[in-house]
Amino acid sequence: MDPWHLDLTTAEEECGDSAMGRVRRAYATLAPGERLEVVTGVAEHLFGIRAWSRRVGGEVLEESREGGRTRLVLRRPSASAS
Amino acid sequence: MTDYAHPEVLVSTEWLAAHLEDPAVRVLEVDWDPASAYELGHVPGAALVDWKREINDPVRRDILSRDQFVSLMERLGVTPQTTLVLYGDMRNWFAAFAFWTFRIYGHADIRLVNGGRRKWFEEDRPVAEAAPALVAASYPAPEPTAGLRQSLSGVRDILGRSDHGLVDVRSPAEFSGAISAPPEYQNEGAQRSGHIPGAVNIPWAQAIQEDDTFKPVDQLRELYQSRGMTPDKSIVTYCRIGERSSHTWFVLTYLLGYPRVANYDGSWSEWGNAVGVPVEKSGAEAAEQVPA
Repeated sequence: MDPWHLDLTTAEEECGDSAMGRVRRAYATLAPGERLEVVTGVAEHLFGIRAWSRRVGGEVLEESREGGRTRLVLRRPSASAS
Repeated sequence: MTDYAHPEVLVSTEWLAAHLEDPAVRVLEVDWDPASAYELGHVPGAALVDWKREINDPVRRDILSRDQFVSLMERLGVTPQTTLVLYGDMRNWFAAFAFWTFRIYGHADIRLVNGGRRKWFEEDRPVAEAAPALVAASYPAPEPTAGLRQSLSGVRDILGRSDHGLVDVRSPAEFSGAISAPPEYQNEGAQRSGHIPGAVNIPWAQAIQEDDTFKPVDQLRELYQSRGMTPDKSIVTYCRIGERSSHTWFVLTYLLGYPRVANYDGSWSEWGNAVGVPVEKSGAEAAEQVPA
């Protein structure tokens, strides 16, 4: 099954949720074992995603960089917090 | 940064890196969402200021009181002589709001980190998880600064006056009335969408560059003056809750040196819920004047 997708490169100007808030909300909807693909071009987001994922026991399965953007794939393990 | 009207209120990430252990400096990270920012990692030695809990009154809708401000400064180990260096999450919006609030209460030396948290991480600078140990200080409050804040009634009074300017710093979709507030901000919604009549829409982000640092002074001058926001006018900035407009208030006041700029922190979440105040829509939204 393809991972869920979250693009953090949009919508900040409208004063929407923070990038990490969007990651947390998307991650919370994952069933155990499901994956979330996050795309961002911001180092602050990358730091936050990695640090937060460690805290909640999530796994960063993949990380790749292309054209100034980084793609991370997170997986929610079978027993983790959100 | 020397071309700005008041370059002393802006510091670079390089400057911050060189002053992390300066005892005359207190670095504060002002966050809307500390769990998504400060608590994951912050500038070493920076203390957290939680915008929702510490910059706002916990009960009524208002900025913190003067007594609450004094208590906050004392908790943070700040004296009236301390250099406060602010940065924060959400691209410095809430740091700018804290700057505005602290200025209202008269703190003399406040500086904003140009580029903020985002630039610090982009440059791969050191990050800490532990909060610093703070030693409480005594803070005899200075005299407050008048004229930095505008109210709903004050905005009503200036509608249509050519010696005043209103800058709506929200996104074009908010300004036109296409949206009121994103769904994840349930307590920032409004009964009506649109903008205050006579306001010009200059989204806050037009003042910054890709790395979140401020644009050069000539570009900033062109940005605001080309839309009629000239320094001879008294300018009021607003957004939805007053934080993005604090960012623009900072630009107009300190980078361009406009002498009379006030932030309307009630902003759209007050105006758009008020009974009987005029509202304008624009673009496609203007053709459909149906209550939301």
